[in-house]
Amino acid sequence: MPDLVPRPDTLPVGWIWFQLLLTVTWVVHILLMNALVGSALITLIGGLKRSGPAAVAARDAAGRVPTLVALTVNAGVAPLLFVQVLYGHLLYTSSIVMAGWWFAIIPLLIIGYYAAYGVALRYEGRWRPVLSIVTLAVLFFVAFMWTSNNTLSLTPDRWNVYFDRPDGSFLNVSEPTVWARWLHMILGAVAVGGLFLALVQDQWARGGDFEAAAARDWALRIFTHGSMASMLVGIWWLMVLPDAVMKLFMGGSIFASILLVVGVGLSVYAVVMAFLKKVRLAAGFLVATVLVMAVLREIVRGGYLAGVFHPRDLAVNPQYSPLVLFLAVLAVGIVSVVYMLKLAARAGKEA
Amino acid sequence: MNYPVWDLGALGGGFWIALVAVTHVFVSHFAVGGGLWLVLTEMKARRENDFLLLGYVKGHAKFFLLLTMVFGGLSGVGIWWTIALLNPAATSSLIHTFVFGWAAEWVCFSGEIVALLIYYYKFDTMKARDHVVIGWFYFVFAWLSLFLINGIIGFMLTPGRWLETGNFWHGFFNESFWPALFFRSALCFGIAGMFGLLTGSWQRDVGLRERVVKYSARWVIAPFAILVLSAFWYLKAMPEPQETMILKQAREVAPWLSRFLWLTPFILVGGLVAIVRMPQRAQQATAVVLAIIGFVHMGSFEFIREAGRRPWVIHGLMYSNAVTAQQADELQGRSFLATARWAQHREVTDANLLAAGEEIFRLQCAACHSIGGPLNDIVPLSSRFTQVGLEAEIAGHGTASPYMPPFFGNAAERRAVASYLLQTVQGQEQAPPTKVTPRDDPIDIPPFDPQDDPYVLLAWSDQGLRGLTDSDPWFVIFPPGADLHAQLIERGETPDVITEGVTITYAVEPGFEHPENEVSFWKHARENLGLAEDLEPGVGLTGNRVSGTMALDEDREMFAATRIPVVPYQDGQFNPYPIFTIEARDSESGEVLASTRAVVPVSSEIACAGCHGGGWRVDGLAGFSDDTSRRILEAHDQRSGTQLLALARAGKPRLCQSCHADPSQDAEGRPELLGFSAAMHGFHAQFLAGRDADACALCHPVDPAGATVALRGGHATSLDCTHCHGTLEDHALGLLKAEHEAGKPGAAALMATIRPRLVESVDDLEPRQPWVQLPDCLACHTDDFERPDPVDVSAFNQWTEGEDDLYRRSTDESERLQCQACHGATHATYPAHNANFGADRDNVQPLQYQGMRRAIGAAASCEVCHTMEMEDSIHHPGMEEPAP
Repeated sequence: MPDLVPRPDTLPVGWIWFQLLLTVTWVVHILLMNALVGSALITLIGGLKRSGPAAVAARDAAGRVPTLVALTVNAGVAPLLFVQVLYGHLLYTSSIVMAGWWFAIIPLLIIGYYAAYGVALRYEGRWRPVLSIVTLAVLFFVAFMWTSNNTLSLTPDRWNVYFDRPDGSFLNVSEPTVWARWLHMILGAVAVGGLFLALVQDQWARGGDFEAAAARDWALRIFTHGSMASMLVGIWWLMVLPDAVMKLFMGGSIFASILLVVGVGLSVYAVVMAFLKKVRLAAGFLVATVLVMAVLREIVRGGYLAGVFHPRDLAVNPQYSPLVLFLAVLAVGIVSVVYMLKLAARAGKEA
Repeated sequence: MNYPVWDLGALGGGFWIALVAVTHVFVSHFAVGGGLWLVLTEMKARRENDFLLLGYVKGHAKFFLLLTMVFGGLSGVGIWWTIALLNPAATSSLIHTFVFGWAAEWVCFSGEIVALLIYYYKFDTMKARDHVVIGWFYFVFAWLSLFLINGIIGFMLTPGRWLETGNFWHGFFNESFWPALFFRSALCFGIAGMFGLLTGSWQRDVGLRERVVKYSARWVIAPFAILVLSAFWYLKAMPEPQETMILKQAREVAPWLSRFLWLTPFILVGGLVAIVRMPQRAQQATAVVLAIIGFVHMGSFEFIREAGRRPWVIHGLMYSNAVTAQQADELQGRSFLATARWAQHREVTDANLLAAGEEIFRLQCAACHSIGGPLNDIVPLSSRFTQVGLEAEIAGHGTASPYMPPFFGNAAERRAVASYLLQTVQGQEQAPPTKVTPRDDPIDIPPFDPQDDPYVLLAWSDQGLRGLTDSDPWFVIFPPGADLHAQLIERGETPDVITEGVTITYAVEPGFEHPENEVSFWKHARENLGLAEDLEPGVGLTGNRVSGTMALDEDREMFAATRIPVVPYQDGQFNPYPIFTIEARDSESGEVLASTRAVVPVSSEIACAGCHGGGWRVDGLAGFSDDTSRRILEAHDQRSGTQLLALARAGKPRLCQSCHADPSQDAEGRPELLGFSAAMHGFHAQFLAGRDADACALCHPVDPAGATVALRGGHATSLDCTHCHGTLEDHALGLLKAEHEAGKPGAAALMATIRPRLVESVDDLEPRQPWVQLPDCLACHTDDFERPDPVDVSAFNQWTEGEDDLYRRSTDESERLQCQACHGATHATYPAHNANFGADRDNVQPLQYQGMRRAIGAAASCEVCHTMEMEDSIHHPGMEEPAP
């Protein structure tokens, strides 16, 4: 059997640029995704109540889900672009090995997205529970596909299953870490979603809205419980990682080990802040946690691919002017978005 | 070959990318134009204090949001998904080349999303001015997205200088960038109008509806002139290969091009119709029809643009099947399977033939071809070929089929993929070809008394074999007509060639007397040959029948019967070697002076069916079946835009040489077209490159495993066709070069697709006229006609200067005896060996006069004609050589 890892293409600037852009944009995407998944779950379960804090939180969450889908998808485009630059040859291949499942993401997301609008635009409609389930199921499905594909892209030794099933029907479920990884992400997403809604409700609660305060507390419970569950599953994930990868976090790499401790510490701190109802502090620690976890994730990726590939090996054919173009457009884009948000923020205040 | 290929079966062949891309592109163009529509319409409503219109704009914005952001946004991501799954190598190339272009586009996409969300959700709560500013932000970001993506998509079609420099900006601002930007912008605004009509025509308020419909119709009409002009500019901006591909070469583009051209004016018409005051239902119907027209129009454009790239996915860089130009060079003459990263079978064996073929199909073909699906279905495309034909068709990819990438791999891999398509996909059973049963009929050799007989009669057919195409109801290449020549020699001390006072007759052997019963030539001769009146059945083109009297050719001191209409069917059975009895009589007394026999070889084993399919007409061995003939005309019509099949069906078949000149048929053809021989060899060389004499045997009756085995003379023991004629490529190029030098326009294009093999370049080739300039015997038989070394011998590229230098028209040094009189016909020179119809069938005269099979007079057999001992030969040196 020949070496199945495809030959990668050359880069226009050094790999570290892309690694940086990938990590930062991925964190933005994942935070939005977490807010989305959590909001979708809260829409469903909170929506089952007729009144009370859960119902309040659900009604608010339902209106936010479509916007969060749009923002999550949009924010996902950038890391998807940069991950292709560095790891595309691995990700393309694993995507083809599970192509049928992978391709299903798009039509299902469209369905889930419209279902979310169905809920948001007709909250009192009788189809709400069904539509909520559809949206949430689609999000869980998409998350599993990502977990499955990401893991598969790191394990080229599993790719030869393609020769028996070139129709893309293979799904990577037997890899030891897949379920733990997915569950860790999903529980984390639910938790962060809870925190997101708690933040929203907290704004109003600060204005003296008791209903919002109750909703905030209910959402914070989702955060704290979800976070603890996610931590437990995270330990499971750590335990089932390939030995060589796991040992990186057990002293094999001082940097990785310390970073893991820092990450866990930050998340514990976030949970403690949540218990203390210090929502904004909790959110701050959470963002820091996700940043650290994103780096840990890159260390896991590197551990899996040790001896197979590292982006530093990619050839560079330097050309910096397009990077300048991007940075300039990005600057204009950020200024424009900030300006638009300012305009939006004053809506209704001066009219 | 760097990545695995998703096996999609019926839904392969680009189905998913077509579906996702066309729907996305339509919606995304709406997302751009509709943005401008929203903000301008809102401004109009606010300016005119038209609150109904403003309310309508908000409703339209909701529709816009749900369509463009949900479907448009996700289908846009869906394009990434799809291209990464269907062509990861090309995707990777685009990503790595334009990563910061994509990243900038993402920024614009983000700006769009934020602006649109604010625009819709804050419609009622924002200050009017602020809201309009947001609307403009949306449009500017959306249009900049188009600007950026347009550069990258255009790069795939016209990468321009990027191919040499690799510079981002050269690739981005490519040849088609600006016309495409104008064209797409015009489309955006027109589509915005179409959607305005759709939502506007559903408004209940009559006044509002009328205002919106008229207003939106103007959006459809206004950009029309820019649309048409930029489309024209777009086409003119194409480099020559892309323009040719779109307008002439890409087969599948024709219906899309036609749809595009037809629908373009209908957009204008639709816009004009919409502006007319009508009942609401009619307005709604107009809006729906116009939107459908717009969708199909857009889809047609995208198909045309994609087709213009053929056979590349990124023009000049990467073929549609992801093989790069660089890899293509490296793959020359090498095994594909041994090189491909994602091939399980590393070489083709008999045991894995079909599985390896399937794998090659998947890796090389499935990017564009489905199996039984709606797009580029391989089943009908391959069903008209035989195994050999499909292999040849595949070999012609990239040259004869310029819209296809070349096939990468060796002959075994070509065989494997053809076998997979025919046997696995189509379920054909591969029946072994019918074999002729060799027979060794006794040859009736006339008596000859070397002591007393006063005459020696030598007779021969001037061609080693005459072709016959009995495809008469459809077309004809070689009508019946073979020449028979004879010389009568009066024996003596100084023998003489007798031309006066004698009559030479000829008669075909039993079973061949009625060619008119065997072929339908006489039924169609008038149409085929453009004759003034019908030809009498059984009578040939010069008035001769299969038996008759030969005419004197005084210049050559011989008798000849030209174009005897003999056919290779003896009482319905295939026999390409009819024997004629030739008798010389005293013209006055009628006394028989001498008698001999000679074969007049004619074969219809012209193997078009071998590739085109349709099977043989007679005995499973020879002859043109109707099916074969039809398939040939279909192929010609398809490639050359002729209507030959329809003409034939209407009872008007044609001689091929009525268009394509051919000296062998005295046909001048059409002066602008290639001559027949150059066209046939040049065209087919594209499919049969890389082969040796087996290429010749795929058409001519020279296959050693076939029935005729026309190459049966002395040369056949050590030489094959290529020793004298060159390989098919060289042979074709020699003919094409002469045509090119004669100013025939089609020659250069064919020459560009064929590589010479026996010489370094075409410059080293001697151009030649078919049938006039042929291999010169003296190229090998140099010093005193000595026998050359059979290992290194080659007469290729050393052509006779003119017709009189041909072997069949040459004489000995006495200039009285025809070479063929003593040596036999071309390709059947003595000693000949007839493989299947009697070993000595072509050796009658040497056996009759000498009792041995060598040429008349060989090994100092002077006594055949001379009645005294001879010391030196006046015919040519070397006659005294003993048998080898």
